[in-house]
Amino acid sequence: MTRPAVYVIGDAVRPFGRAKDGSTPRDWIRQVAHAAIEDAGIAAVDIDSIVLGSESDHLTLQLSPAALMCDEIGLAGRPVMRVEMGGASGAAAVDAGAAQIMAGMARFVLVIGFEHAASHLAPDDVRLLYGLSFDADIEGLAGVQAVHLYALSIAEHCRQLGTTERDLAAVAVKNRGNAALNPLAHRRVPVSLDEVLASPSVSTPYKVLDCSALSDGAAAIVLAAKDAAPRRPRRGVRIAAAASASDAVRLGDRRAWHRFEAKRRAAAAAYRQADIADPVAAIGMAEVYDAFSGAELQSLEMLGLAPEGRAAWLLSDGMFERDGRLPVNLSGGLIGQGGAPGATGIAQIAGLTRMLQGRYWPELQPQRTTRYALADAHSGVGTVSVVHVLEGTG
Amino acid sequence: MNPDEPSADIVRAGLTFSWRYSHGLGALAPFFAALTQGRALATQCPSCRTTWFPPRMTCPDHGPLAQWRELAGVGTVMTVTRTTLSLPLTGRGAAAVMALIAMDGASNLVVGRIAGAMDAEPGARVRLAVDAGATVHPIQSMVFEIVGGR
Repeated sequence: MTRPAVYVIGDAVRPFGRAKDGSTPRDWIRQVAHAAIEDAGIAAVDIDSIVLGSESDHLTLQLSPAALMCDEIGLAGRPVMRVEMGGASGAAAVDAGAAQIMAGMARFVLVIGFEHAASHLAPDDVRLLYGLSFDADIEGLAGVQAVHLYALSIAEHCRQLGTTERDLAAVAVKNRGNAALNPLAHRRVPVSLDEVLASPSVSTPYKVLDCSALSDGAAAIVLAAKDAAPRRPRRGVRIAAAASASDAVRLGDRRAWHRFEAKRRAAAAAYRQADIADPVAAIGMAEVYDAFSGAELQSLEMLGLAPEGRAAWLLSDGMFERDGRLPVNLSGGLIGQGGAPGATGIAQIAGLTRMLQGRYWPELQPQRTTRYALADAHSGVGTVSVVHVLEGTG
Repeated sequence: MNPDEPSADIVRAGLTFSWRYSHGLGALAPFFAALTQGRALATQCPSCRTTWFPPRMTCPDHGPLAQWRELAGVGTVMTVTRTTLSLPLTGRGAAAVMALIAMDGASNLVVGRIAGAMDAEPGARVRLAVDAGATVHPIQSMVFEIVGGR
């Protein structure tokens, strides 16, 4: 099946972090929407449709936010929808926008995402609410939080495959090191292996510095049909594949609770769409959903970018480092750039687009030209996975 | 003034909500009622005999045919994490071991907390018990006690 071509022609990301200035998602959306449209080289009037990604109205205190945000950016009158898919909300919103273009329903789609996860509610309340995003009656209300489930999953990975706490810490060190060079990142102070290992335990084997940040954030991209994209003096970036898959919500209902099977299926489907036979050889850079340090290793293995049980060794060998063969989370990932579920998947694609175009942050910009980049996001503990493959053209 | 630059006298509103839900338990109500009595009620598919604790109301292979079946209430710890657990809306919290537990007779695993045994390890045998402390949801009654093993 030939997929009509969808291009990413503009992007903007508001710095992730804790909004201490009293600003709200309405302000952030306005900023990123207008900046992405300007970056795309089109006018707001050209936008045919808007898709908004956000996870929780409990965090925002704005139910049904899509219509309000559409109105806020001066585009009332256009079709608008909101997409929710937990941590993959932004990524799923990109899917929905691309589908509109592929179906011939729109030529230009503005995809926006946000989350108000850091400065609105107290962190413990945010974690309690996120706990309700698994099986609320059987897990969340029993006090089970995201960190417990991720910890049980990686503990089994450690037991079966020999992954160590030092391996987990190395992921945090890499991602915080990258984030230090990313002006959009929430956590810009690098950390050492010893600091990660000495940080307080949260849920064994995870420590404070293995965990991603709860962030305020917003991001936007403009998608365009191939024949509508304006001619620009920059490399074209096409969505070569978009695929998703789901798994049982409860870890205990899965055959192997240390594996993200949905991610493996989504990645396989994405590689088929992009006609990629050998992802390790084809993919030149990746943004991977590191909700916790170990989740990056688990994800790399399920994405087919490392053999099972070997991601940590390949990291220690330099493969996923900034100057490695397949740099992972140059943005800093959720551990460094931050975690704002509605915005994360969109910010991943915005960053990768710029990397493919050679206009990312100078100290993070890969020096060699790459054809393919991969964006990976998920909800739950790898419950719903959304994988995009971007292709630099020309 | 640039409308995208908040003014220096930004006002924050402190909002405290207290919402009261009357929360139904649906088809899982027998499972929750049994937990408050220390009993492990599972569901079973009559076609393939797959048994779930916690229960599912639909067999992924054979559809909505699950029927109730009581288990012995003992199981084996498969994986543990040592953490701090807060029971939502109760004000209760403490250091705890959370575990994935394979109940005897069940095909899946349950996430549960193990009472009074911070050194619990995979392989330990546990028994379902009732948390006698304050709870606001019957799932909070579910706790496991070590009965043997490592």
